[in-house]
Amino acid sequence: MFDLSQTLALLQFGDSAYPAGGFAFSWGIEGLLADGFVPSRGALEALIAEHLTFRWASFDRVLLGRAFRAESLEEITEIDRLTEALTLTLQMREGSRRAGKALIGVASKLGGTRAHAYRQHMSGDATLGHLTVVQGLVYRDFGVTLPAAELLSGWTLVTGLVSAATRLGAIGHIEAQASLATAREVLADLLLAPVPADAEPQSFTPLIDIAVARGPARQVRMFAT
Amino acid sequence: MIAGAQLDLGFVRHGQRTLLGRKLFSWPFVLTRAHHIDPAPGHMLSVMLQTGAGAIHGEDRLVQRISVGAGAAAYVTSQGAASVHRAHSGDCTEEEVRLDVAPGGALEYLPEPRILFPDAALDARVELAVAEGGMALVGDAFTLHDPGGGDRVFRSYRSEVLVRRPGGAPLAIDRFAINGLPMQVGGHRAFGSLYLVVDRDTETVLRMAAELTAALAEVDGLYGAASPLPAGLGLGIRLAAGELRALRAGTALTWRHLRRELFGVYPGPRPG
Repeated sequence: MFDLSQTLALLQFGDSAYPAGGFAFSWGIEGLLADGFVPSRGALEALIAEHLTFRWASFDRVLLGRAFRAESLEEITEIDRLTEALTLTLQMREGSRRAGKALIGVASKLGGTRAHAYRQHMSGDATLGHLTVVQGLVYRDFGVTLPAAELLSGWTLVTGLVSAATRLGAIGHIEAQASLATAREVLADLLLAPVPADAEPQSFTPLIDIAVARGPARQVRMFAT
Repeated sequence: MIAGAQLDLGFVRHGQRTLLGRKLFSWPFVLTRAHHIDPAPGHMLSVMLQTGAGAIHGEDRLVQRISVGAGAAAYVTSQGAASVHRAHSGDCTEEEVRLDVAPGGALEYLPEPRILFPDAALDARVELAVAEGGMALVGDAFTLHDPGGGDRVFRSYRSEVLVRRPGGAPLAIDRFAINGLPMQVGGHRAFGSLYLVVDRDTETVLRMAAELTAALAEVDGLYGAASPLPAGLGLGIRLAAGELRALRAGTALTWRHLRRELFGVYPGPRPG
């Protein structure tokens, strides 16, 4: 039996129509496609699994949990600064902050109290507002539980990656649904494993980092990351 | 020597030369003769580290400290790739490197890559503190090797690089903890990162990133890019390759490119 209220919240916040600013980012898909590393749907699905396993689960999910549990603006700021320090690629930092600022802007306008307070608090510091931190505080604002917030974070990443691949012409709409189903299984397995209490945020995605950092050198590109 | 350090080097500026004011080492480290071989900075002292053991074993705990004083310049490398052998269950090889650079100091710390053997367990940590006005280029790289010719991999590999100003909180943190490699798209099995800490304005750092990224694209078999680090620290460089040769070529290109960018000329020739 599922929780009806949580499920409806997931459908709303996980809907691609929810204005969270994610459409400008491919998180490395565009670059890896351009550099010939995603020649097939299988390779795309391996890449999505890498994103989820070697970055989202060990990095975003850990930081989101900390932000979700944080009780003060100072605590959230500290987590945001840590996220900045841990994100070595400029375009990833910029993309994360842009997406985070879009999400917190919408949440603030929709009456999210923590979102509103943190949006004002961070307004003078351009290095704050990372997406995963904002997800933690915004989803709590709207009564979403931490497990559901983690699911939303992982799933919106998956849909963003698959959407980017579709818009770039790497896969068709039917293939996209198949890739979503494959990614769903990977995400479900990851979500079933709890985050250890002493987990420290870390990631190992060198190819994605390189593809994103090579972005400014590309003559034509559709996405910011 | 800091507690537990088997290698403790202190480079100091003395007139027109950089000298080793502190030179303490014990097993397994061996220090060969130091040389002045670079046209610029002309006072730079180059040192090659060797390990008498020839390899790193499961129960080893290796601690290094290198400090570069005000106005001094040092280039530190190692004799060859360091093999990290199998660790018995419950054991974990530990490596700790602490690097300190004073104002006006310059350090290039570019050890050869590690080669992780099947069932190796490694916990490596580098702490880099560079004062305003100091400069550092630090490299960290690894590959895998299965002597049986199979696909066996290391048991665990945790790596952490912290970059900070002296006494401050880390401003850049590169951390991973893996027990296998991610997707094999492209067949990459050799990976490296370099960290350049240098005082340059944002525009200059962006130009440096673009130029170095373009140069790395010319190296056969290498996938690499440079990107500005957080907090205006400098540049972070990521390299990936199918084998060690291309990774070494990428590291050498990065070093030579940045030496010319920062000091105006390429490095002097090293003993082959």
